[in-house]
Amino acid sequence: MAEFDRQRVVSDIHGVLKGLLFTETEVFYFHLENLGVSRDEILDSPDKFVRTLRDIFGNGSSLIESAIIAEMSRELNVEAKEDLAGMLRFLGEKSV
Amino acid sequence: MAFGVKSRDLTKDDSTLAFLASYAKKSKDSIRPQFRHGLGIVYEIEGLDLSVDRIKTYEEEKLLSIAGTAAYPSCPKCASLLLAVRLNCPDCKKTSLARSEIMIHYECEYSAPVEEFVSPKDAEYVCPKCSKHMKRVGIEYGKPGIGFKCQDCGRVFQYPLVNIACQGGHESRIDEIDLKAFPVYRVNEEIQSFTEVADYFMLIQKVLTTGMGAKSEVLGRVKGASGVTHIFPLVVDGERKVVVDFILDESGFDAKILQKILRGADLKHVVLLFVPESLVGRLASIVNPEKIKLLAVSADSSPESIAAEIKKIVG
Repeated sequence: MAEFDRQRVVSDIHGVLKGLLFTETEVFYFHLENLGVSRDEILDSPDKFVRTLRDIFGNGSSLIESAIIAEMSRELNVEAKEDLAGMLRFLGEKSV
Repeated sequence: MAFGVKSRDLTKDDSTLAFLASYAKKSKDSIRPQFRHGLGIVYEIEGLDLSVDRIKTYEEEKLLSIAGTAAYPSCPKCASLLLAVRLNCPDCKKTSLARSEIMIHYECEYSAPVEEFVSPKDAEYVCPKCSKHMKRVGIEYGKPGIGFKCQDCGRVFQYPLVNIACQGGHESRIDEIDLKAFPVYRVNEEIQSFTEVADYFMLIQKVLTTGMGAKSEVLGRVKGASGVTHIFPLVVDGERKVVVDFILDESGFDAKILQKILRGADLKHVVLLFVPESLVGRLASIVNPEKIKLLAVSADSSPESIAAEIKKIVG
């Protein structure tokens, strides 16, 4: 059963990214989309999104991954998953 | 760190602070929106055009405050700012108008551009409608001033309909035009202490230029693959181009390092990142050493020693 508004979840994720990346957020979206992930399809392709994060940030990706997991868990009051792809898959299934 | 400045915010990029502080030092003027063809509204800081989205981020991060607004006319249908004035005939509404000095023959009340009254055979004006000769201005004919003649319907008039057309092809009357307000900004005072950082890089630049013959630019701009122009405290040209960036202290570590990695990923050049000694170990496990080279600096690091390190990498 759906529990979350999909648009709101995606917008919250964008909020976390913007909080971390500041003025470089637009650079991130450019590279994200260049690697085949649309900014609005994060919940549709969680594995691809995480792979792309790792391509761009290398070992630094874990900083973003844990920030998104923590923020989404707090914001939506759901249990934090161990990895970001799992968290996004869970949120994707619970959202309409 | 050598600059003696403490980072006051957890996530703001230190180079951005230095960039804005440097601008604030040179200019006390507010940062006003400007319209650029092909770009729309931009804000120019230190010769660089910043998009509305980018400057809004600065505002959200409390680097800039709103000092007022400036309004630009916009299309009421599509909000486009790229507008052109169109003059139309008040009768047939077409745009094929010719601007000219107007003449009127009082007797038959014919009016037309003055050229139409000039006779090739006679020295006097001749009315093209009734063919009468006109000698006395103010009695037989008058020149009420500049006007327009519609090439389509032939109507002569002084005041055309003024319409505004946008790039999307929408046409509006002038009283229908919307006004779109854009903020006017000023740099917040609390970040002006970052001027010291820019000054410190000026000293390094001086050593590089005079002592080592290396070409460099303080607050240099480098365009990334994304098309975004990045501003770095120092850009050095040598056998290879190196951009110099820094992290002032540990506050907001995660955000700052992610921003640095992202900038590095956007560029072809090697990034030389000055960091406090205490961060080197933590950063070394995160950054790609081929892309981002870490250089530990302390309060004792002199511009000379830093310039020497830069020169080693630039070649």
